[in-house]
Amino acid sequence: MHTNSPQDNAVVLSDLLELLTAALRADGILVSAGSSSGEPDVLASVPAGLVGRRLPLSTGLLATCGLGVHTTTDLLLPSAMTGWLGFRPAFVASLKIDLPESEGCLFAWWKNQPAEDTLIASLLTNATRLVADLGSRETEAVALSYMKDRFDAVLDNVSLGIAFVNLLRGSRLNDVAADILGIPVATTDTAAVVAAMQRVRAACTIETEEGVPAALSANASNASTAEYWIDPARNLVLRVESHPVSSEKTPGRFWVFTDVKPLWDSNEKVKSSNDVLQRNIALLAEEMERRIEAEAQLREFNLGLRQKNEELEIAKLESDLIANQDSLTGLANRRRFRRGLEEMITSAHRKGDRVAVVYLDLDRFKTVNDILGHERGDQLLRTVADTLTQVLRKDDLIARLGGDEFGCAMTLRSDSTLTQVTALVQQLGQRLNIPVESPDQIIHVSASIGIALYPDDAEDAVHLLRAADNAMYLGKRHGGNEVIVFTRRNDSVSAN
Amino acid sequence: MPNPDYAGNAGLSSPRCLRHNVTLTAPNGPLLVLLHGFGTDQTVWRKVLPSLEPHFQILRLDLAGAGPNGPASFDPARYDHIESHADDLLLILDELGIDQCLFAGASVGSMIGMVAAIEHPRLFRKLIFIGASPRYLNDTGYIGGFEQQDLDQIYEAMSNDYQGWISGFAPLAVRGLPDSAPVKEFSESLFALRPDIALSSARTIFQSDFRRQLPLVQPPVVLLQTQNDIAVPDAVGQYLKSHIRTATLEVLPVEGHFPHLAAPEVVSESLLRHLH
Repeated sequence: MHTNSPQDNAVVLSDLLELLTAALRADGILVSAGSSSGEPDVLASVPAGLVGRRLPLSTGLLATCGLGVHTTTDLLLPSAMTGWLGFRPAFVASLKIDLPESEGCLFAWWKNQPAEDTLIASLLTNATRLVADLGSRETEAVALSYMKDRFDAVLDNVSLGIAFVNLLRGSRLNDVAADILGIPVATTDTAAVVAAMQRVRAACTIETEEGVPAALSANASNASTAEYWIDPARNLVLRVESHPVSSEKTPGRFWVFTDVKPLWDSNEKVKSSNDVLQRNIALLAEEMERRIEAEAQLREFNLGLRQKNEELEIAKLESDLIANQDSLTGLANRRRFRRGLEEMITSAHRKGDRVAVVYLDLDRFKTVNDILGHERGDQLLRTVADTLTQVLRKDDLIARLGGDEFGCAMTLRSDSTLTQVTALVQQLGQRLNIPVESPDQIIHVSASIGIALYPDDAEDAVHLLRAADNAMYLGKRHGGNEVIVFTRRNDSVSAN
Repeated sequence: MPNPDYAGNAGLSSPRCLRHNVTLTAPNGPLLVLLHGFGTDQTVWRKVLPSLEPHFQILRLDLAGAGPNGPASFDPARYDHIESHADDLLLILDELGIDQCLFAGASVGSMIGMVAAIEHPRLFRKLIFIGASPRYLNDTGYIGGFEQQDLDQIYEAMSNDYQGWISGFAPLAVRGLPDSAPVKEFSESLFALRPDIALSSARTIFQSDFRRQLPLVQPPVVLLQTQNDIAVPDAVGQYLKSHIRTATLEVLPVEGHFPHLAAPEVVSESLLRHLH
């Protein structure tokens, strides 16, 4: 059985980290391993140079784990950071990593505030991959050695530009791809290959095909992509395809570059490029078959691999879930709610159904938080989430929209009435009369609830949510603990 | 303005403070950290202490490898970089709840203070460097004073005959007669170091290069340089002055790398003048 030395691990890890650094537009990344109370070792870093050092990680710094992007102003950082990066990083995002026999942490560093949105989710995904990777180092090494042999044979025998970008093992190019990208054919540094692709692409006019995701687009991570790169200065028209190598446990992609200049010039673009596509796909299919064969061989003596793949899939699912889920209550978050509501409206429009949106805001939640602390407040929010889940139907969409605000959306068949909905919601309102005991009083928590209907009150998700919110607000002004149904005349009907 | 009760809080008896033998004098004024350099421990400040004590609360500590806990506190894998000492300093100040201080360091103690100040600029109101060097090796366009072969000879001498090396090195470093009190004191201090720790520390210090970090220093810096300092040629003082934006340079009328041992009254006077 193949075993890797720790040094190999560091090399492979740093490849992954370099790509992660590029993806996050971070200025540096380091992975530490060891007890968090002591002084952990640096397992890998980008830029390189901290590997093998022991760094004292202050409790303040460790406390930022999992909190997303965090300013470092009041954090004690290891002194080596500044010498390593050449500046003191102003922002950090970190995650805990469960390593087989120690606690690990991944830290990404930025000189300036990063764009936050997609970043955390991406960081999570990649970090969980990293975990899976570290956990199954040995099996992977064997798989990759097979892969490499197979791939080399293909690379050297085609007239297309081919780049195999592997996040863990470095990249491989053939002559044609190296020429197009303007980097040496021996380049194996994945970050350098990706950077070259971005550079060449940036100099080109990009044309895409209908129904095919563009390269480097957000939803292209698991799909095949195709686009045209046109650079008049270089007299270049390239058809650029990329295909995920998803049957492998290591994340990677095939990039195929085809010069379609003559066809492009003769206006035969669509038909001819389809020919080109067919030819390329035939080649790739052949390659895939070889790989599958190799994997079958591997599986025979590598029983652990399948399990690791499953773990990786689970990790991926979890990270998708996190992006759509409220971490405190497990309900959908605002983002998921809006998307779900849009889907429900589209479907209702088609079938002639109605959609009711229930907007719910707790009364005296702040009092609970102020008097009994955030932990009790969080507990209360979870109780509310449980109640909502119990009272509403399975198909209803329930979300925590932020703070102490919740949203529910339910499809109403044409035969159901508004009265039925208000009855259900009133029952819900009663269940949410929750007395919370504090040392010197009982805090009567209740809910102000607003209801609005599609298509009666609004035509789209945004306005519908706003109408329900307005109705809720009216209830709040009446003193709370009230269910208000929105009406078009802008004065709502109290249903309490 | 009276200082918060740093000595009274639990910090001083924390494992880290005990390991580094942290000591505090009476809170007579602003907090001043005195940090020793290679081959010595906090007792090296003994002679300048009396004149400073009435005006400051003085915090001293033994760097890892130095002082009575030297062998216990030193881990060659961790202290192969000077930054690790800076982390110790920062963590100690953090544990004691100190949020502002003055700093004076000798030799490599200066660089440790500088690295700490780059990491935590608001913590340090002013830094005084005595006989500091950002790099001991000569380089293109830079005079550090040593060629690699010079250093290799030092390392070899240290590992072959530590005691013999001390008897040759101490008079040169202090720049005094072998029998003079300051030379004897430094020799004894070197002799108290475990030879392998001394060698490991010497390598880490002599091979270090902090030139890249100099422009990052924010608090005001006073460079105190002596004449005929075997470890720090005159050009190094000039180099530091021109690369640390906030630095002023004063050449003391003293010789050697240990003015605080050889001429404590000169060092005291200068420290009081610059820290007031």
